[in-house]
Amino acid sequence: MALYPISREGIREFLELKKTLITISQEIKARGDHLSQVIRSNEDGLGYLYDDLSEYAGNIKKMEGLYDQAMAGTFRMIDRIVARIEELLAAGAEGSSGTSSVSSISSGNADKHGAYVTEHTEAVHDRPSARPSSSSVPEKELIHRMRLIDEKLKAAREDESKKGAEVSVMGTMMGMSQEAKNLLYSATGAGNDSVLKAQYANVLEYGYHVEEKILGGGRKISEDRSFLEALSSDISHFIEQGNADYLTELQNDIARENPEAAKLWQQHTPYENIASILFASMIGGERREELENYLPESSAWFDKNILSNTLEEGKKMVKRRENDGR
Amino acid sequence: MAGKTIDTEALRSVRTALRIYRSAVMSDVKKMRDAAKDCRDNLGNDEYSKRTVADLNDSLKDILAAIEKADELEQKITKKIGELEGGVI
Repeated sequence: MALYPISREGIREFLELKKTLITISQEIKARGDHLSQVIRSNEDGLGYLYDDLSEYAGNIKKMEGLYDQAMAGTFRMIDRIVARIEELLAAGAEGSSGTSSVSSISSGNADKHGAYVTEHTEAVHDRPSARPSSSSVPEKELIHRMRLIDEKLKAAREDESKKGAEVSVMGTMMGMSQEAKNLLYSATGAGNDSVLKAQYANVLEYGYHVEEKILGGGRKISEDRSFLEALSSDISHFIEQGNADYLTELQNDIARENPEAAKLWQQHTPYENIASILFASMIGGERREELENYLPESSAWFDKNILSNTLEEGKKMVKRRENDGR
Repeated sequence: MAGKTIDTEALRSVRTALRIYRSAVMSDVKKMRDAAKDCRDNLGNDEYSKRTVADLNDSLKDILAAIEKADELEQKITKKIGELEGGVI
């Protein structure tokens, strides 16, 4: 199905959907009442079948309860989506909605996540100089990557058989992999402890493994849901094996041996920081808690919501910088 | 069955109402499923939406069980009409 845009139109469509569901609920109750009435009014001519039919008419009342129950959950989801769109509109997301969708900003917790988007949007507007003057990833390269992602999303949305969010997984991985490699290269080269170096090499190898899975073999990720699920499972397994400690050590070492790289990890501009969190979530590590604070209801580490949100923040950054003539 | 009358017109009336009801329920089940899919897709299939969709599917499962019962009743009615019109009873 089409993803709904972040706009008043998107809200209107969801409210229409809610109305439709309320209407069908009322209609089905009316149909049930009609059936019960027809059964009762034909009691004399139904013979022994009347017993079965009247019992069924009694069960129709139970079905009304099931309808209410089924719809209540759907209504809550709709309310949740509408609230999220409202939040984003309030944060100024409208106008860039040509390639935006509700899924790209969804998460397990509306309040915290909504606040997060707003907070970082304001942070960049208010403090453009907060970005470090030097970085392991040039701005032009970042913008180039975000454009690539954008193109993939546009292409995906033109083809209903594909899911934009899944394609963004590939796009975002492309966007962050070089950055992650730079960090890991720095750390591997700087580490003095042989055990740590071995661990970094392990992390690096795994990073390549993931990257190869994502980009290798010309596979079309958007058409292969089982592949994504297998990848997610691999990552979860890696974390479960205790590899979360790798990142803690990696970060400590980066901070000690490579202050420039550490800046990249620690800064709070939207794209890089979220990409760092994203990468941290991928290989496991101390930012796990940070991630959980953003998405407390999410247990999926390779969560496409996060990936999509990274993309969304990156797109905003690109737009702002283009507007600024940079 | 002694003491209980039975006629094809009454059976046909109920069968028609039953079919309409069945058709309406099936149509609504589809709409609810589609709506849930819309919501799930737009929520990015997060944990909350997964749980809600699972609950919804549980409810729909019970509703569909009631539809099976409606099918059985319709078959019984159709069979009885056939018997009556065929002069078996």
